[in-house]
Amino acid sequence: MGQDRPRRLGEMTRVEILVVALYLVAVLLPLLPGLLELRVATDDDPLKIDTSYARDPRFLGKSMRAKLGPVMNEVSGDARVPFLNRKNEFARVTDGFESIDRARFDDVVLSRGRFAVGDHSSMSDVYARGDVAVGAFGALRTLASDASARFGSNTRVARWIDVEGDCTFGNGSDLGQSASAAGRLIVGTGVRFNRLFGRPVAVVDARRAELRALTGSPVAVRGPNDRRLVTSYVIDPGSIVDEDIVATKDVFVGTDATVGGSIKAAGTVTIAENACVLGNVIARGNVTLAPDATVLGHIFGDADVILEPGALVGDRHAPKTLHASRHAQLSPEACVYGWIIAERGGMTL
Amino acid sequence: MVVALLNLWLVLVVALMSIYTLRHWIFTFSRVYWKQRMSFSDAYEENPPSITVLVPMHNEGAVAAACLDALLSSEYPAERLTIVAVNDQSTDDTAEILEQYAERHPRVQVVSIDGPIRGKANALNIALEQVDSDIVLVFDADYTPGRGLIRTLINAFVDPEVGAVMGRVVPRNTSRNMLTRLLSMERSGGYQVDQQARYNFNLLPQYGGTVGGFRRRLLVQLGGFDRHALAEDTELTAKIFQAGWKIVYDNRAECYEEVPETWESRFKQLRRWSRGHNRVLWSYLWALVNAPVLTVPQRIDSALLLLCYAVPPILISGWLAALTLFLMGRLPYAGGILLAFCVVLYNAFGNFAPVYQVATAEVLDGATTRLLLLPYLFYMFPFNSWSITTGFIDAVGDILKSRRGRWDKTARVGLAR
Repeated sequence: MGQDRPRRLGEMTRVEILVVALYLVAVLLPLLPGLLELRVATDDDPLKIDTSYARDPRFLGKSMRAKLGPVMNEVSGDARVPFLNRKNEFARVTDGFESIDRARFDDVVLSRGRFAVGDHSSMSDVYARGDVAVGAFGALRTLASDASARFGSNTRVARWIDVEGDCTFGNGSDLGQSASAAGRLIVGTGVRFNRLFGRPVAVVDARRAELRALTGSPVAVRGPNDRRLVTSYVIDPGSIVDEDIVATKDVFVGTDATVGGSIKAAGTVTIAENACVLGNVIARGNVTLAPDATVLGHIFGDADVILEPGALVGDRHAPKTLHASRHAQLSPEACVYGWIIAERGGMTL
Repeated sequence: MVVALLNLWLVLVVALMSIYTLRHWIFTFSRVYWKQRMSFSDAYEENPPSITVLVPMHNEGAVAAACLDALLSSEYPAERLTIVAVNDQSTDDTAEILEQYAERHPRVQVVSIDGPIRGKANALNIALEQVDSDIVLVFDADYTPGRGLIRTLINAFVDPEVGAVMGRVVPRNTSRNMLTRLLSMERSGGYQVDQQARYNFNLLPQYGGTVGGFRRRLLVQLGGFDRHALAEDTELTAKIFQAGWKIVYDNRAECYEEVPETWESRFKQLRRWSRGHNRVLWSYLWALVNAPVLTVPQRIDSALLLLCYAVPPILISGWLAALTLFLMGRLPYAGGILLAFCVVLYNAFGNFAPVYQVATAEVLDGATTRLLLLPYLFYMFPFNSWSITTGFIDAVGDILKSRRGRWDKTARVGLAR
């Protein structure tokens, strides 16, 4: 039995070599798929940014017109043509269409003139250069009109509609993802929606609020010293505050009071009857506009936004945004010049 | 005594790294599962305010035209948009390019700087003296903003508490090589998850110095930029929060940029960022942690934000302390199942926390195949650590010797042309 010979540096047993090899494999193995990706490069494009896109509440309608307008121009008279080279999809091109009740269109409809259908009609996509009239209980996927449109009660829109002129929806309708009009968008009671745009969007008859919108004034950009930092804040009835208000809790603007700046609150914001805010209203809690209250700027509510009868948002010459992270609730005679976004759905009462 | 100090330092380093690990995890989960905070992108404005876009340029001949073309193509009302290109002592053809644009487009103004100081902060200060509008946006010359970007950014100022806004930066030259691909992933993690989470939690989203803007009168009130600052963006972030204002991060305000294509260039960039950022750490840490206008979570986040470029040298010092203690046979808690458990736990969840953050960002962006490159990020870690540490050493030297840093410009390629 001799003494063990001391091992020289680099002398390893097979087991040790195996362990080191396994370790190296474990370290390098995760790099292998990446190495293949580096060689083949299947996902090396920059993340897509649509640099031509500019936010527009009527983007969908304008996009549809740009796409379908040429199709209508290529065909004369009434015809049924393959739709944008899609398999088993056709467009029905017509100079105009009038129908009785229960009309049904599976094809895309492109009308150079008026498009009118009666009650209980159903359509997929419609683009009309003339007026549109849809009877009660109509159902459609998308619709764009270059003139005005009138929809009966209980209309169901699956995606969106966009109208160049005025647009009216009857009671109990569901306006899908978006309803927009370059002119007035008048909606009835019990209407559900997600996004609305109009000048104005009015619930039933909002003439009282619309008259007030004539007298709006521009919102001034304020300097760093024009802020009032508060906790809770109650503005006395009839008083005038010509500052931005930043509150860590709730803000209450009393009856007939005027706020010249904007309001930002970590709690709720309530604007009492006939009170007016010239700037924007931003709140983490609910925003409530009492009857005949006015906000000439934007409203961004991180909870619900509630407009009571005669409440007005925006100005005839300066449409704004009413954004509710939860629900928007519009009473009859409420009126919004601009864009209403209700992320979890909105409702007219 | 030495052993005790080394042990204490080691414990502090481990505690700090654990806090950052926790932060990464909370941010990542918040981005996926929790409510995202409201953005002001949807503010509809037909009469937006007059604004000025500043584009500081030093030897930007390769990219200047593309940037100005992109700004001139903006859908922002032409009569309310002034573009001020700041020629900061360029020695290439930047000056000629800018003059050509100024001749052809009345909206483009050129400010030339000849003074002894060169650098973005100084250039912005001088240009701001000639600006009338209250809202000012800043783009670096290698950025090509989309048509709707300016409007999206300025929407943040509907909030009266907002002093500055920051958009998201997306690398354009991703496909060039492995470095650009990895940097693209890092950027995704930093913006899509980290910045958005800080905004979600009402912490301290950072004004990044480009694809962003601020209220001019606020900046004037805060004394403008430090003319010698290498990280004027971080400095402004600190000043804004210290003064009780907020910064909005808008994840939908996306803009292409160029990332460095060589390791040398990236090393210099990181070193400069680290040097500038650590100067701000020195100047503002105490003030922010004690700022009465900030909430406790904001104060904690301000410390973590300012310390982020000090973490690599701190971590390296921790490794050295552990190695010294090991060689001295005085490593604390040596052996034991608890230590083994903690090491394994940290290896799984601590070391990889930033990588999970990047992975989450890529999933949110829908770019899942590039996740195959994730392991390479881990091997990029030593490179980042060393470049940041050299910047940290520079900053310490700056502070000790009261010297000023020099602006090292990142090399441009000019892909957008």
